[in-house]
Amino acid sequence: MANLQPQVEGGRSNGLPLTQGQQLIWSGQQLHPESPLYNMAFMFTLSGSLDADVFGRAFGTLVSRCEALRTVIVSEQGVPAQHLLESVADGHQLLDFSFETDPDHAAHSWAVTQCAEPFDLAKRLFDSALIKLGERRHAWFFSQHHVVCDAWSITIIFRELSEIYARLIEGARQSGPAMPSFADYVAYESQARIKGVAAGYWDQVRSQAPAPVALYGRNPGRVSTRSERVVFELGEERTARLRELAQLPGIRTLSVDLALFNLFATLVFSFLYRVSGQRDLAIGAPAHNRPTPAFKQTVGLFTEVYPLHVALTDGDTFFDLHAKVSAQTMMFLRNALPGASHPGNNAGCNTVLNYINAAFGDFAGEPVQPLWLHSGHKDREHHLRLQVQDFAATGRFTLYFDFNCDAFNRTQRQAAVAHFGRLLDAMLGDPACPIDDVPLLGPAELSWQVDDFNQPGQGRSHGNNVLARIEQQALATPAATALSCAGQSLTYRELNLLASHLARNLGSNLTDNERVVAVCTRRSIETVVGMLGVMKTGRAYLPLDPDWPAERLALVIEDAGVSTVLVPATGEVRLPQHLRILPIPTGLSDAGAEARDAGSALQAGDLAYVMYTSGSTGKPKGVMIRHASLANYVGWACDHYVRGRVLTFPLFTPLTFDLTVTSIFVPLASGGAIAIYPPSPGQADLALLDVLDDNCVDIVKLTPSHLALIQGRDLRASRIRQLILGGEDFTVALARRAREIFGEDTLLHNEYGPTEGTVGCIVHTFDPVSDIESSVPVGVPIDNMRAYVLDRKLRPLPRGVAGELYIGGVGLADGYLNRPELSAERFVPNPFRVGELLYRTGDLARFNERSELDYLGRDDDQVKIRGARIELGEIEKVITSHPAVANCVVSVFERDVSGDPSEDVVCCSRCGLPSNYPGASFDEQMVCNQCRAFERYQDKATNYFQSMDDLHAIFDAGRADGNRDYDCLALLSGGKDSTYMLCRLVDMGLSVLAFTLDNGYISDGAKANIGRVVKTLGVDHVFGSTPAMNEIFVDSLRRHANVCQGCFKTIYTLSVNLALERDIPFIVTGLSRGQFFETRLTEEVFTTPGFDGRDIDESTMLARKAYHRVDDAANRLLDVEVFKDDDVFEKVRFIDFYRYCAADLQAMLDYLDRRVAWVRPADTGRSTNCLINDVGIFMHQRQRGYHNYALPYSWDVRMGHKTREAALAELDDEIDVANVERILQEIGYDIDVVARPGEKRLAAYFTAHGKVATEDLRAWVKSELPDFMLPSHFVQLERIPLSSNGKVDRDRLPPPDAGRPSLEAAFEAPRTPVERQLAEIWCNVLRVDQVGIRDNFFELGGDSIMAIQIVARARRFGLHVLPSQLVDKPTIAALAASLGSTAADAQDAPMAAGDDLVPMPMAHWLFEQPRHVVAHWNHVLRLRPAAGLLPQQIEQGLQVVLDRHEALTMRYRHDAGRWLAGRRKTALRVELRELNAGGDDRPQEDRLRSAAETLHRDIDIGEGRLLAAGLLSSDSGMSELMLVIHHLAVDVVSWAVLLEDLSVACAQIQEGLQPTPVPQTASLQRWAAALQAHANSEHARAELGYWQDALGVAGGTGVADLPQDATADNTPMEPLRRSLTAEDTRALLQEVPRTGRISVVELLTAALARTLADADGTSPVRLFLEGHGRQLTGSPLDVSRTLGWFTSLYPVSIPVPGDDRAASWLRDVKEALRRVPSGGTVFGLLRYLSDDKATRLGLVGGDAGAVLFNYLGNTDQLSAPDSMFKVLQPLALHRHPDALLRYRGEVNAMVTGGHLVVDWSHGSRARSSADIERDLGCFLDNVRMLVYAALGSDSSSLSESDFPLANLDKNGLDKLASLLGGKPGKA
Amino acid sequence: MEQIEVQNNLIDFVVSELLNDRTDVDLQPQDDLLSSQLVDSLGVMRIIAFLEERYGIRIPPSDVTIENFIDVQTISTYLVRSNG
Repeated sequence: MANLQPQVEGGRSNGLPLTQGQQLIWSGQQLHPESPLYNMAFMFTLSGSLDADVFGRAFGTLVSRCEALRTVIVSEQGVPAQHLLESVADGHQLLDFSFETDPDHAAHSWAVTQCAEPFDLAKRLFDSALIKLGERRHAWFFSQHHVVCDAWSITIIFRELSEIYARLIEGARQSGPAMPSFADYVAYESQARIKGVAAGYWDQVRSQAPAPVALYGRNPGRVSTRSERVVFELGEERTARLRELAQLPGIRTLSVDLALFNLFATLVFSFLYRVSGQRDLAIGAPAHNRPTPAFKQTVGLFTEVYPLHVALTDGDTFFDLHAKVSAQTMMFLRNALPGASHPGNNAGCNTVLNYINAAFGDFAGEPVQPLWLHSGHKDREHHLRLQVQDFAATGRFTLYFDFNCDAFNRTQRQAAVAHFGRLLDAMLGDPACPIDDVPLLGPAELSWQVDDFNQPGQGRSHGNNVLARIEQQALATPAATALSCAGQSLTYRELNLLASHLARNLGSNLTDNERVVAVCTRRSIETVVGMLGVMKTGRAYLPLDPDWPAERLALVIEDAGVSTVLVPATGEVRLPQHLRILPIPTGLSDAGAEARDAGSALQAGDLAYVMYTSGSTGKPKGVMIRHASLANYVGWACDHYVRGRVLTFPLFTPLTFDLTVTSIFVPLASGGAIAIYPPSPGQADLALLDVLDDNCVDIVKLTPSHLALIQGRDLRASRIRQLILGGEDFTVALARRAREIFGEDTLLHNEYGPTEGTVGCIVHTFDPVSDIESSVPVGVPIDNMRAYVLDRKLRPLPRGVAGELYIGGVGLADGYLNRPELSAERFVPNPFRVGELLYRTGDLARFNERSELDYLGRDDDQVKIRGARIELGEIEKVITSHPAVANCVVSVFERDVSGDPSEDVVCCSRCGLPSNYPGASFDEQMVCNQCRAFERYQDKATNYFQSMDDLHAIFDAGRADGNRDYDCLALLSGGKDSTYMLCRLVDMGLSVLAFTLDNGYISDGAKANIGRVVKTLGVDHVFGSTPAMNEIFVDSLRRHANVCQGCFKTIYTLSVNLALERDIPFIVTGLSRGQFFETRLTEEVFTTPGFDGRDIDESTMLARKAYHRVDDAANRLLDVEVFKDDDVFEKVRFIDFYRYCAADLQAMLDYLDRRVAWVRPADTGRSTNCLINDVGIFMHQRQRGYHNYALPYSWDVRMGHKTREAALAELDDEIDVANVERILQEIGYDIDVVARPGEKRLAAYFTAHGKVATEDLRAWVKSELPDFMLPSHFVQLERIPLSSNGKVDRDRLPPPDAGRPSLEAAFEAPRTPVERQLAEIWCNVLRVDQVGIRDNFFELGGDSIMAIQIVARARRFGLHVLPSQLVDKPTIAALAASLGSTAADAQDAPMAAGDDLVPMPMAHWLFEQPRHVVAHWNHVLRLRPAAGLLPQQIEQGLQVVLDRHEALTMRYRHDAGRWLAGRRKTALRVELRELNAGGDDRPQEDRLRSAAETLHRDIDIGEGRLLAAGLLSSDSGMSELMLVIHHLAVDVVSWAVLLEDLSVACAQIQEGLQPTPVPQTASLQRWAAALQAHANSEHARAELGYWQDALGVAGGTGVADLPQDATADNTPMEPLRRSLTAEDTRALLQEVPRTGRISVVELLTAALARTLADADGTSPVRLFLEGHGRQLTGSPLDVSRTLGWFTSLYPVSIPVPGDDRAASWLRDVKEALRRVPSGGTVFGLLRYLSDDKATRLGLVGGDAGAVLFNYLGNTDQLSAPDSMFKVLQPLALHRHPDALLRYRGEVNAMVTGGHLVVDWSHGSRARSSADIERDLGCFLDNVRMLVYAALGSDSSSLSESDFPLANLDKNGLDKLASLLGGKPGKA
Repeated sequence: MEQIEVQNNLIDFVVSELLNDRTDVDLQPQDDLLSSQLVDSLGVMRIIAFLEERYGIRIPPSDVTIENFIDVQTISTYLVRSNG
């Protein structure tokens, strides 16, 4: 064993630092401690007799003489050092394999295994064994760690061992001269290290590092160290030729080895270029670093790897490249000074060339065969290492290619060596040969690409035209529906007749030379009739869009030479005058009776259609498609997609793109149907949403952009089972999302094809297992089509390498109409098939590892945006034609919204800063650049801090300045820092006002601290708040991806205002020193020449002023008047307390403990006081990849206030995502934004004479080009940036403003909730920071697709925007106003004073109670008003609500045995009671109860006083609003409306505005009348039988089950309450609905039914359920905003399933509930409102045996996140104590605070409380069990502990498990 | 720039910096540095760096050929010729 004590030997001090080379190896090993990547191992086969014993002794002697063999690396606190051990047990082994059948093989196997043994760096760093192979043959195995050796060293060791052995054999004792010490090199390096010039050179090289080479198109980010060696023997001839070349003039240089190195480097660069296509290349190469003879004799690691950069140009020959390489090598050698390497130098080098000029001699005179062993691992950064060596000095080179196994698969490894060999032979044959000209691929590779890949679909015939197929279909299924559109449809027979009729009419009009007939229709039945009609005449159809600008229509018509245009029989089309315009017949009355089948007459080569695409020269071009091509595509698509079924396709996309060819001809050719979705004129296209809603198609062809529009929907139940994606790049992320939306059984076909290749010619069906790159592959060619990936010389490229995609085959277009030159340019002869053509697609593609094609984007200016093909040149041409524009460039940009949360993050070994922090870099000791920089300015920084005396002095000076109430304002967050600060300020004798921002999320723990602290200290304290807080949070999240920035700015703004108001001269902050460095004490502050401490204060002040000028939400929404004048910062000065105080953490805590009993808040989960903090952390990590506290914590560590471990532990957060989502929803942040990928948009950059209004330019473009070509951004530039070769330098075009573009209109903030909501939606869709209400949608970059997104999203928020409204009213102000008027359509005149009202069913239900009970049946809600809202403002708000909603002033009187209702005759004034004002010492509970009682007394239904309100102050000193409203006036939906109205009214009143009248929806009177009418309709009566069955009382009892004797001993008991855990609730609310199998209420009902069935075994279980009741079949009335008690209450009868498994319960209950007619509304109508007494009585009774179940939903959402009123407690119902119980029990379930809460009430007579308690427990367990079952969980994981409430024993559990269909596991 | 002075400086430099003061070497101006492997290509780069620093000149990479750097005499001839 090694002696681990560091020793001193020969005066050499121990613990030497590592050299630069060693440091890099050491760090590399640290990253992969278990990998033998740095083992250098050899096996030397020794011939001749060998004395193994002497050999062993010789080796021992060697170890004692050679320092490198006794060196170990020990690291202390992350810093490694090399120690020299006095002695090391050599561990030398003797092995005997001579008895093996193949001793050499056995030895080799052993050695290969042995050399992969990792070394422990602190122990022996070598391994030696002598293996006996035979009598006169031995092998010496020697392995050593690279950190103490290099290849050269091993030759020294070998020679030394040989000499020692020889001497020992000779019997000599003298051991020869001492071996030189590596310590000398360590010393030498420290002097030589980074000579100035060399460092500068490498810095420059580093700054120009090219991108890492994607070898064979692959540059996998994460690879392991696994590596495989492929050996290539160069042989005599090639080696000799190389040596010849090395002597050639121009190649010959200082040494032969250098010349050979240059030649190999030339080859490596050629190879990299040819297998990547990259021209700018870097490789790494080791320099031997042994400049002196002594170093050439020293064992140790000398080599260091430096980069070699070369840039190839077109046409370079090997000679040309060699010249560049040798020039670079000279610079390389000059600067390769010991210690000059740097880990960053080799960035970009994933290939290393190691030319080794070391050789082993003989061993003691006997011949030796050296073999370099490969440990199977190498540096993972090096995807390829080429090692050139001739260790045995044979005169022949052997090349070792060490391939990283993850970067190259086995086939690629073999192929790569072959490709290298072909380049080598080409160079040896003729160095003047252009590198591009060398054929790289072998015959097998070539024939695979050219033939095998294209073989599968060849020769399948699909006929020569589609028309014949459709005509045959009309014969086969004449009556089948072929088309349907807006209620109309055509059968196949009708379609064929109409088309024939059209063809006859057309034929008589057309001249012979008219080859093309235009069809100018919007999507309609005529479209298809028109196309088929044209085909029947043997002509080609040309689709035109009537909505194109007139200029474009005219241009295309002229270009195509069209004289005849088909148009719909009705409707207007703007077409040039000279054309022959013919109508398309629509009805059979127009048609002749006879079908004319023309398909058989068509020739394969006849044109089928002409379709125009965008042209790069600025002119669109017509692609001509032949019938054979169309037939081939359609036939293949029928086989591939339809497969013999009858499928309906929707036709919903523009006809002028060939996407629609699939949707028209594939169904018609296969007997399916087309569902046509016509566009609405002038509207953005919303058809896709209709397609999904209608759910009448089976398969949809669409673009990925269309697909991306579908969000947040569950379409697993949809008929759509196949999607065909075409037109643009289909990302895997989108494919995965589509599978979530449509279900995993949905097929997603990615179909590639330019118009010139007939719709689709390459296809792949998404496979979630194998498709893991970023894009879904495009796959393999369809039938009779071919695809090639070729270089510029039309030669196939190696697999993996990107090249241009060429296509050929039957589907190739017949060229461009009337454009022979352009056709010849794009359609070129196929070099592999004589006589055929290929189309140059201009798309980049490559073969992936599964032999499919990957699409890689465009090779030229053509772009695709949402599937539309766009030539940027065409747009540029139009813009440039504007008279004021001088020049223009149009560019595509993509806003990157997601960060890069790299998986491979490492943290600084000192401070813990993560490597993905922007700008972070690490040195070899894994220390970050910030730590290193801080070392340099730490002293200066320390000077910045001052003493407490200095602080005293400041306050003293302040006091002298005047007599004030307060010396300072202290910002108190409630945390330890600010609390400690406050205490110390008080201790200093200052009079302090403490200020805290209540942002709505301060934890209770922190609040308690604040209360305690200010009380103990006796200081005055103010809570500040703002109603804009949530909006500021949203803004802060959007700008900074955190919430703190917004919060801080709010604190500063409010506190400065407060300080000014109270004349307080100082604001003291408790920022930590770490925070100073984070925010202001940056490196530049200190490293500026002539640094002065005062400069910091000055720059801090400047920064503060600028900070308050930033236009963000805080600036817009808070009062920032004071900051208009910079003098404010003279009047109120900021003092950072911790600049003067240096207390450490423990001191603070001890102090706080003694002084104020501060407690660390336990309710936030970390060292923060704020519950919203999680949201910021979550969003920051999600979007930026690192924690937002990473930097400040690293500063805390640097400042010595935290340890690295503590900081990292605090950063390792587990965040409750559900909670984050809840808060995000609460503050109104649309989380969808996070998930959505970046979108492509067009930006136009132009120069002009003078200023050009973008509005003009936009209008100009709009008049010429279709909408999809309209840029979303116009940017005027001084000049267009050009690159050195004079081309536009697109990389230097400024990114279009990410914020609100500079617009004509000044920013105006949204004013109303609707405007705010719209603005939020616009921001998210348009991806801008803010939107003013006067900003124009199109000016902001909006387009038609975005319009759809806005419409779809607005619908989710209940805003019914029409796309046309967005186009007509493109500002938020106008849009919101027009929404107001839309809503007004649903508005109704309110009831007039004194009007009578027919009571609604629930009122009747209540009237069955005793009269005094009816009078007291109230809802109670407790609310927290926003701070700053005054009582009188609340009162005014309540008045607005009361005046608006008639239900609140409805009178209910009992007269002559009947209840009558009507509106109050006089207006009512709201009185807001001041409840328990002043000191009230009773417990809060009592105060609340008495407050409620007071308010209950205020309610008088006889007088029409149904609302009472009071203000009371709670313990925390904050006031609360208690609202009591009689149930007759409200239900849950009403409450939400009321709270919204109240909030808006109060907000407006507070701002001094007149509350906007918000229209009410239908009046109660009209609704009641409609109900009554419906109650007596046939419709309703038809349900009677159903309801009697459900009630279970045949014919009814005619008697309500109410025990009318109020004294009956069935008094209502306090309801029992239980809740479900948050986790189970989340599963119930979020996961269960996602399964699509069952809804929440259905599941709860099933659980309750089961519970009741178990409890008393009756079947069926009878329940009464409550629905919202606001819908009435057939009635157009909208009562969505009307207040009242609208709910429906209806019986359901649930049969107990025969089979007791959970699945059966779920199924049976779901079915029972889904059978309920009309949502249950009619039951109440029949029972209470029917004129027929028998009907009414027939439904009375049956209540007593049933249980009432009501699921109220999520009551947390009663008030909106931005409401001025926060709900404090779930809505409660207070009934009169005499209320009679009509049901066996009443179960109310609601979600509140993230929990499902269940209240179960019952009467004293029914069952014991214990029984109910058990039932309640069982109910919750049943809920849990059914959730498990619904989610398909495995029941074997269940145990009793999962059902704690039911007290299950083993038997119970078994029973449960059997219900779930499994066996219990851990019972 | 005197050729003899250049030669002497060069010999001093090569012996002290590149040959570790090896006492067994008596370096002469005509001794072949490269093919004798006394100095390798890295050593030539050190010589170039030394000359550039010592004489404030710049030796372009294209001049770094075996013809100019074969021995101390050739180097000094090259230097004097190109920098007078």
